[in-house]
Amino acid sequence: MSPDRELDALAGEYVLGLAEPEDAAEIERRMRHEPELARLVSVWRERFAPLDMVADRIEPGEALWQRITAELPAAAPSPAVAKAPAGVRPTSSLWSSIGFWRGSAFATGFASVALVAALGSVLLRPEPQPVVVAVLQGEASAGPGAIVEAFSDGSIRLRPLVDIAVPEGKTLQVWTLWDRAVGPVPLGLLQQAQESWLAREGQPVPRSEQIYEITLEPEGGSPTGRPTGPILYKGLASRPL
Amino acid sequence: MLGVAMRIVRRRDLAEEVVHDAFVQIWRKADQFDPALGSGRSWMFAIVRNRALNLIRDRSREELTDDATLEGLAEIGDHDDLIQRLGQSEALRVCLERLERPRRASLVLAYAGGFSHGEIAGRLGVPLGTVKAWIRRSLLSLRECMA
Repeated sequence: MSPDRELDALAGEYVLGLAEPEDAAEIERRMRHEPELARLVSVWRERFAPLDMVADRIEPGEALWQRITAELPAAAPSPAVAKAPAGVRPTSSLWSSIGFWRGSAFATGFASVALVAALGSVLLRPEPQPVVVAVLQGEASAGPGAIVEAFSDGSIRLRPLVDIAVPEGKTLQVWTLWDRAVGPVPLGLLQQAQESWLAREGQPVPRSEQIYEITLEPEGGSPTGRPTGPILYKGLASRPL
Repeated sequence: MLGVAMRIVRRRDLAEEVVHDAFVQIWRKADQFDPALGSGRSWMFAIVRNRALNLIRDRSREELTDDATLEGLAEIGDHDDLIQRLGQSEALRVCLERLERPRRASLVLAYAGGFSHGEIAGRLGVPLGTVKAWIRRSLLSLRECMA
């Protein structure tokens, strides 16, 4: 094996976590003085990074954040940096629960803006790619009414694109249909058109051509377990590229 | 981040410990991060994975989990599932799928599961030398394929 391939394989094994502890420590020492080795390691990290992004999403509890923040040196909050960095979804509940991080410790303590932005996105959760996406169209009216994104971990995000009128005593119910023999299966209720996280339980991994729809049902949801009201929006799922 | 740690340490309390230690380390080492070399995200995940690996090396893995979970996770099928979660046009997925199944599994067992050469050899029922050779050759194939 030629020396450059040898070095690259070494970097790759290190990134895979296969270097013995002493060898790993040696590689880390060498990286400080050998820019080529440091570069190869970074390239391998980028190559394998997608496998981190598809890990199950596990929300850290409040207690964990409190333990972490308690140990880091506090810095004075600065209003100038209190805005969420680019790419961060400021609406996330997790983000707001860790408001401390935004304005204070990280933003002022970190030299690198890129790192702050990356940290924001990591704290929130790696943004996984949905398994399927469906654009729900209105029956009669023109234009899309909502977007459904279904993720591999079973979570489903519904994002309305228009305000949907919900009469008194009624509720919106979201359904999916992947097999005519099984019929439509309820995913959840919405009191109003707002971004919602739903879950599929005991259902197969969503696939292309699966139907998602929103119907208008009596308060509390359809009494029969099947859609009874009018279909407001409906769409077929596709796999994103 | 917790999900990445969980794949390696298998226990929620230990995964939280890993994420906690990783954050303290990220905080301390922030000045060493060089944006010219790659994304902050992959740098931080590398720290999480390193902490998780250190933790399982310090304890025997048997102590960390019940055998059923360990065996379940060691199935090659589960690693195919992980690959399936990658976008279909993702270069990593395309290139991993070009490798023979056990070779592909070796890489994913190492990266995502934190398994050592010896553990992978045991799980796949092949000699240690074979796993070492598979990994090296597969890395070089990936390098070509993802270039």
